[in-house]
Amino acid sequence: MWWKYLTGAAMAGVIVAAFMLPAPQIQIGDASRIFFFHVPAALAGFVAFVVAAVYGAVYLKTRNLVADRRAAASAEVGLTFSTIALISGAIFANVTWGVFWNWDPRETTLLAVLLVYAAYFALRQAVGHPSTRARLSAVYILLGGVAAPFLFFVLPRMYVSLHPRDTLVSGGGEFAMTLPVGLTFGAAMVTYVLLYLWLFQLADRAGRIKEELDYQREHVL
Amino acid sequence: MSSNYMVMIVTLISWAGLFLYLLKVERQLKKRERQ
Repeated sequence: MWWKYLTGAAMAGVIVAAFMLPAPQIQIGDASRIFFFHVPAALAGFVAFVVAAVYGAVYLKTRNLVADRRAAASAEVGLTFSTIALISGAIFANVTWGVFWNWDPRETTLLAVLLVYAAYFALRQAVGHPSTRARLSAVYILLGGVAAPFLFFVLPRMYVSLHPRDTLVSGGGEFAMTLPVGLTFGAAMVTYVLLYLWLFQLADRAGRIKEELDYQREHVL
Repeated sequence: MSSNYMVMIVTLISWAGLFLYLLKVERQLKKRERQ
């Protein structure tokens, strides 16, 4: 439980540091502070999809429905974080490019990721039998996990994009941020992953209670 | 007060609200799990 309070305190610290430090990008100014929230949200979403794929693989190997429930819980949280990244990115795009949406490769691939995982939940809703649903979902989420690194990291770099790409490391491979900005950014990344772990745990526990209630409804009542 | 501080305070209050809500969900789940 202690690490949940740590997450709360760390997030408050990140928020204060993000607004008190000089803006990370001088030309853009204060709007560039969104960087401390947008990038960690995208990272947490990616971590969530990788964890979901791992649980999908665990289900296919063990046929344990707990792994299926955890894959769904992780994908659910990942979808939330990716939506936050997409919306915050669109706001930042409006400030820097003048439009919320212009089908930039980064925007488009993140939207594709969202659609892939939204379809995962549509698939889960469409199949009634628990073990058939778990098997099909596990195969799908595993394929999604293979596609996600390409959609997050590879495809956006293959096309000309207006999205900043040398934010962390300069073109010469050197660390591009000042130390306070780098530390705040690192703390934000860790804090968002902790928040993901907390939400994942809550979603998994809620899923277990729901399964028990469904079982009682079908077999006891 | 600059708009930067205003946004910081609004963000902090929003986070505090979300954090307290998550703690409440945590307590409710614990209660359910004991039943």
